[in-house]
Amino acid sequence: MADGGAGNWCLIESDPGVFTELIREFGVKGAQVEEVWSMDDEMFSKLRPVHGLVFLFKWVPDSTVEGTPVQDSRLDNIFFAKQVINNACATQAILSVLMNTNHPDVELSSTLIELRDFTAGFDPATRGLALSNSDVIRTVHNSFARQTLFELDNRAATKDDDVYHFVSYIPLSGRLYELDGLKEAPLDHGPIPEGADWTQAARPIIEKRMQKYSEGEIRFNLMAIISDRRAMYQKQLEQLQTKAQEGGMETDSIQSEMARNAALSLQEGGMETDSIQSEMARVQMLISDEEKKMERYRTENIRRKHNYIPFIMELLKILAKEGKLVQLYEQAKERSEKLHQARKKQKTK
Amino acid sequence: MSALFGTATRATSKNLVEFRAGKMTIADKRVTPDTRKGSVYVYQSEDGLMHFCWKDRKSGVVEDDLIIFPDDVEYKRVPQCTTGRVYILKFKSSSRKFFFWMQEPKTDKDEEYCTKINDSLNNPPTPGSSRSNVSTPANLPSELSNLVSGETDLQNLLSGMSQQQLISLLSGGSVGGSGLTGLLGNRRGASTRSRAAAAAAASATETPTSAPAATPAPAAAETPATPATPATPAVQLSDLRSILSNMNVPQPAGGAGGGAEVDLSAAMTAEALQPVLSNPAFLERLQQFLPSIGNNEQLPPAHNLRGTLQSPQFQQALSLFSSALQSGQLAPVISQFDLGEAAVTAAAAGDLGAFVRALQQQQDKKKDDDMATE
Repeated sequence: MADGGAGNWCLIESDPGVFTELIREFGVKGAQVEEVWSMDDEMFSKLRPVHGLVFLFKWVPDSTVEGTPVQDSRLDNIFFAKQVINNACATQAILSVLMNTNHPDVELSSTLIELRDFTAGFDPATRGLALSNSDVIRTVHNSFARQTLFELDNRAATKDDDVYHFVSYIPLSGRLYELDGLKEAPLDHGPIPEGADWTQAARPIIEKRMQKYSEGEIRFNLMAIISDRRAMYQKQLEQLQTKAQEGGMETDSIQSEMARNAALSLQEGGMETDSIQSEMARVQMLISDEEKKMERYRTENIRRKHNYIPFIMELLKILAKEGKLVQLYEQAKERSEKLHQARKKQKTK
Repeated sequence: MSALFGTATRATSKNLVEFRAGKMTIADKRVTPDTRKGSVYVYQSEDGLMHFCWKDRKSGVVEDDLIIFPDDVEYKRVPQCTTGRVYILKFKSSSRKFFFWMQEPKTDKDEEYCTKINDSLNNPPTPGSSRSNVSTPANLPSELSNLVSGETDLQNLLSGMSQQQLISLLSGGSVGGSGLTGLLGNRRGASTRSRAAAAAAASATETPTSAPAATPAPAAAETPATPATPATPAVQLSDLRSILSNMNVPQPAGGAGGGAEVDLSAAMTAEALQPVLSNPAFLERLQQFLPSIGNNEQLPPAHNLRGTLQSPQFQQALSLFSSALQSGQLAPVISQFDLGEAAVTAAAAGDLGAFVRALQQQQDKKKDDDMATE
């Protein structure tokens, strides 16, 4: 886990809000990141099109390897980079998905396109190095790190010896691939069945992983990189608006429109009423939900990037003024001790 | 370590710090001294690396030669050891520790050696530079040093003692057969004093080690008879007693003391803080330090405050702050916030309890000052 002289990469939180803003700050348009809790089709029906899946887990040495390492000319068309810096692995996993996406919804920034083209002929290790040396990417990544004045963060992170690892899954030219920066090459998991959604092809593989980690009580997260939902709903709304204006449209297309929208939101559990107006209202609500979510992400990221030290100092002064500070400290001390004892007991079990 | 860097050639220049000290062995949770005569010293090898070493003075064998990088270690006194002159070399990134006991006959330079060890290891000199000899006074509270300021010898005497010894001194424990009054009474010749100092250092004071107690062992019995003899001017026994009763034995965070590190966020929850902060005057004070949430319309300050206190980011920051302060690294940061000297000292010592009390005292003092000017 050496720095490799590539500059300091900070630890960032694995959160859909962080990753969504992260990719936007890389200049990517038309995509966002959602957290996924199960591989059920129901979950994914709301999220399609899914451009890639990123599986985060606490790293354990794993001798079982599934899938065949790719060694042929396909390597020329797959953006695969070996992991050079540990703290950068989330960003790298996400970029692995984005760099391999050909979907019309997703628009990469010029920086990323340049990086992709520049490293096109490189071997995975060199590509990984190039990525970790990218000042632009590193700066954006680091801007999401927790605001601290001290390097204690690193110490705290290594204390528990928690090393988290990210693995990406992508569909490419009809086949399912696994991109793991700690392996030598992309892994080929075979063809995606005709007519099936690729996420369902990935399902058994990912579920197997999830089960293994659940049994070992190992924490994991699953994120999906999907198209920008708000933009998608907005398009739908505009289509509905046009249809409403044109009036007297073929009921077929309206029906199919509504059917598609209904499928996108299983909350209502089925077909909608055939009024365009109510459909528009529903889509508008979905848009509003997305906007609220993005607002929440923005707030959370502001909170993440904020330096709390001046606030804490002022707070402590106020508490002291009110004569409450020492008391609170004593309480904290007591609780900390109890927690410490409880943890010790757990460790010796 | 030396394998990584090739053979570290021993610099022919002299050691940066050197003093007589013995090793100690750690078994279970007990630390017992190795009785051999030894020296602790720090030198810088030609490659610029700092070495912390212990050698057996009799055989001349260098038994320990550790390469130390800046911020690897902390070297500090262990107040819990009753002889009062035990120091620990503690590694920050692992649980490695080494204990040493002073073998210098005089205690007057103990603090200085301690500071020099830390300085040389954490701020390695560029070869050729010379470090100015700064003798820093001990962890003497400002009130105490003010009181004895005219009495440099007494100050040196007290500086050379550990807090345990000072406490024991005041509680009437015998120090070299005399006692505080005897000590104060014998303040004629300097030679008497330094002998008393040596006696104080050497005698094993029977002060019980209090577990989590923040207060020192209470004065068992009033020292009978004489307060400061008429011959001695400024220093009053009662003054010293009252000052020292406010001192507490610092608890090392985790590590040697075995206690848990204190995390302020365990008690400073939004629910606990809300009633205090509902005061609009406080809200106004805190407002400017809140994160700027909201695009066009700023979030109403009261909501922002509540949201901030509840946010995991704030809780984490508070937790990290607690940890950072207890690591002893925050003194430079604390000194920027006008919290008073005692707070900075507490931060340097990594003592969160002392820090909190220092803030309290500062506020109490402000209140008194405000009332006095009314």
